[in-house]
Amino acid sequence: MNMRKGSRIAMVLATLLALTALLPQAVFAQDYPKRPITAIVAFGAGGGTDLAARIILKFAEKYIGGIFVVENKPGAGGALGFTAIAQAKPDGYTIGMINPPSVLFNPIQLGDKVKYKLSDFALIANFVSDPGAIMVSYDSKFKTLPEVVAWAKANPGKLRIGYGGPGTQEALTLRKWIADNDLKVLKVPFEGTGTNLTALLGGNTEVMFANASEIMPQYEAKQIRVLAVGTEKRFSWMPEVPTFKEGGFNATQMAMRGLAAPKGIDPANLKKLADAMKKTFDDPEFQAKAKEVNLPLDYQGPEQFLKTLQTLDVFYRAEYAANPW
Amino acid sequence: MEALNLLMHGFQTAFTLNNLLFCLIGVTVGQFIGVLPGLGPVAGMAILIPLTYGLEPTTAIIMLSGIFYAAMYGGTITSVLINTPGESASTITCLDGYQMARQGRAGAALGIAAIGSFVGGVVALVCLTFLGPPIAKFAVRFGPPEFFAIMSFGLLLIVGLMGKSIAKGMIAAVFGILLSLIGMDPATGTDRFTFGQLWLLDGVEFVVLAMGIFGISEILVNAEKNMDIPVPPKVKGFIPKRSEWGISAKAIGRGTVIGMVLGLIPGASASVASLMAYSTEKKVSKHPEQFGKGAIEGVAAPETANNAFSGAAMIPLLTLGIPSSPTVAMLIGAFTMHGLVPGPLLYEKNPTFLWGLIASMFIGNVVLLVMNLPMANMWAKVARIPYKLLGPLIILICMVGVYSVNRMIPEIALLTLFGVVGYFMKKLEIPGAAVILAFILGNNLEYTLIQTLSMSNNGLLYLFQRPISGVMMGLCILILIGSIVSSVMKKRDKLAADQEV
Amino acid sequence: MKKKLQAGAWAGIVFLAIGILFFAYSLIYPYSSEVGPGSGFFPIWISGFLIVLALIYIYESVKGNDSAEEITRESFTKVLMIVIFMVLFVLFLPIAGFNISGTAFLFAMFFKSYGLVKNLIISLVSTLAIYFLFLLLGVQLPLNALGF
Repeated sequence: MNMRKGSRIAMVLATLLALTALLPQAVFAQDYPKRPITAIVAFGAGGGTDLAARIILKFAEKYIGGIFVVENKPGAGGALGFTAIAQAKPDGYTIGMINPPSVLFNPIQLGDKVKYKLSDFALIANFVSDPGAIMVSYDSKFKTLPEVVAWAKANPGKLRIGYGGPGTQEALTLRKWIADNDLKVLKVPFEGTGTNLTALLGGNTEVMFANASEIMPQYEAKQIRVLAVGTEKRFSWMPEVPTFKEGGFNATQMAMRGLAAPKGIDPANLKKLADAMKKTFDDPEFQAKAKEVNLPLDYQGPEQFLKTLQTLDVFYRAEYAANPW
Repeated sequence: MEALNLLMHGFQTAFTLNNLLFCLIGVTVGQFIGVLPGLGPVAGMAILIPLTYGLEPTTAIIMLSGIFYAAMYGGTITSVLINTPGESASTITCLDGYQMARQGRAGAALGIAAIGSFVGGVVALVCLTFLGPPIAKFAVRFGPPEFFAIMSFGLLLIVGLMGKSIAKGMIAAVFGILLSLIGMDPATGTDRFTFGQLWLLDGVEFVVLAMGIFGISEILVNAEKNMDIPVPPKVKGFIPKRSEWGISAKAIGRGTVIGMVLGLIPGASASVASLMAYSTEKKVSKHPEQFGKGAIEGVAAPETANNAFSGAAMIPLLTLGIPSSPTVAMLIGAFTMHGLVPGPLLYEKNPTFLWGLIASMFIGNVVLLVMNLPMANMWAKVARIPYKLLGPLIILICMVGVYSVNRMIPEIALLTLFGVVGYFMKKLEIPGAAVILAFILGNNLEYTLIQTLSMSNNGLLYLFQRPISGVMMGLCILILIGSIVSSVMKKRDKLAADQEV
Repeated sequence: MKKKLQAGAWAGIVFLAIGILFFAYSLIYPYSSEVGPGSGFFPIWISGFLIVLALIYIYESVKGNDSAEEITRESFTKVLMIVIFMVLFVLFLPIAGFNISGTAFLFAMFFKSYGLVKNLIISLVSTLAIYFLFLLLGVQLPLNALGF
């Protein structure tokens, strides 16, 4: 009995060893990258950020001349993953996806419980800018944003608004909207767009605040009507929808997804990455694929991305100081 | 009719050799991963999804459904063999499934689980095929108050299932809920009860709790006898005894209905479905005291229910684009990667794919069944490995499994702690299952309560102002009063042996 | 009779302590928030409930209504040993790496079951098998400073 078991185990072991030898061992001829680059995604596999990362990196591989390997490090609303990126070795072989403004919120909200800050990142590029959207169900009596405001004013404490819960970006937008119009409404938090949508479609809420990319299918199927979007100018995917500003609401809301490396990365490598990303973005096949999966593209190079984030950071810190959430 | 035609066409697509092959691979690998403690369907899918990116969309999706179903079945295998639920929906299966394994009937347990899962899954798919959209429209009306009512009902079922002491059952349940509150508060994001530990920010991981309270504690209890656990008798065969066919069939029937009904409601969870099915079986059974000791319908009902649930849950997914659980959410992610965005338009925009998918789910179910019935014996052999070797190995694999979820070493320490807690609970006859099930429900319970309260200005009264939730809450209150009354009366009985659940 | 009483009552006290601990912390969290109930709402009620239940449980145990098994000293020692090994495993894991810690853990667990050499072989082979199995599935178990 012992011999059989022993030799069986040995065989299994040998096979396993042999198999590991087959793991890809790519050899690159250039200086950088010489081996696979790890890309940390601060959210779970299958989610929006994960999807975006995998698509972007798949196309980017041919422009950087290397291989990217996605590593999911979900947890704490992204804080764990962002921290991992900021604290990684800056040798150019670890980068990651960052999600403004969540990546900015964490240090503001959690203070020094969070072990990274904006300046810990060397930004590579932003890819996705997803506008906020205010919507109602298709057969709702509301056809424009001002109509909603008027109704809410006439019926205080009755309008039910579904959103992602306190601490999300749309929470701040919602808060501002309520304050600007001096409304009394019922705010209903939801964990994820799925349940939020169900509530809207089922008549359990009247209005919903979310991000455009997440509701494209329902928008296209005419199950919901988007009353306004949070872009500066009209959103190309929803040309007939007015912006927040056009609807009388002086604000914008964009959720971004971009790539960053830990600061201290060799500027030459950073430039290689940034260039590869730019080429990826310009690739028509990539753009087609992004449209297919509802990723609204908005390229920002390293300098521009940094400026955007710094501006946002200042803005949010001021907001938090005046009115913590 | 049109739907049948499309389905036939779908079968044609699915039946290509290539697709079948990948379905087989998906099923095999998915099951294997589902079996390893720690890695459950979610982790398994996370690992395997990237491998599908190189494939044709239809083939990839077929492989993914195979992985999905197989991983869930893998969770069942661990429930039966080592009393550790591989994923939350398999928790109930541990109760009777493991006992059957100890009696040498692991094969039968796995067999009936496979058969029940198949029936439940297929029936749900048939409904999906022909009744999809109209059902979804109705189900969407369920809102937070209804969800809260369902969860409360589930909680009462948990307490009601517990053998003798309502007090012990309630302590266990309340303890479970309390554990679920650790971590970021779902409503406001403040971190609660984390004592400064960042890794607790997401709360206690289900896998850690379940493996500790069920798996590790079991081994600790057995350690007392010096690991001299008798090897279960060699009972061959994966088919249940003749006498059990009738009961099993009825259990499967009831489980299917319960699972399907709950699956249609976006927001219910598979655990509630299996819980309700188990509870129903116990209530209608002529020998309820058998439950927890290896009653075959205690395995058949929940397993059927949770596959029926998954099948039915595809309906809101495919018609509304709304996922019903994290595993399904990953499936959506994978679909989207391949450019197939689920949603109301999928039925119209891409009928070939959709019907191919449904057909492949049928096939996935069949492959799973065909593969597993004969293999049930093989799995059962694992239960017969001498315990002095098996026990420590299980502990090590559990520890590694826990690590593989979040790569956080402190979670292994937490596992050990829960193992000790579970050990004491077993000794004191405090039901561990109640802790785990209440834990699963806990977060949802709080969240739906908060949502319900935020939806109106009437506070808790709102629950009774809506027809569906009103009825359910009324039921809950009745059951609660009934249980307390009957337990006070039971105290007068001097029933000696009462099983520990 | 007295031993049984102690076990149940002690458990009750532990639950009571946990309930009180959580209750105390819950008081720190806000009771209401912008959406209605705040983060302290649910925990206060639940932990309060636990406290009540724990008191009932202690009462029942003291009255002698508990039918729980006894925990004898010698059986508990075995359990304690296993727990200690697990804790040691956790402590050594980041330092010594999985392969060494795992082998050591199994070796300790198998100590009374097999002879020394057989034990070492089984422990080592099992550990390595697990290591490679998980590696194949994409999970890299911790390595020590020397790289294994």
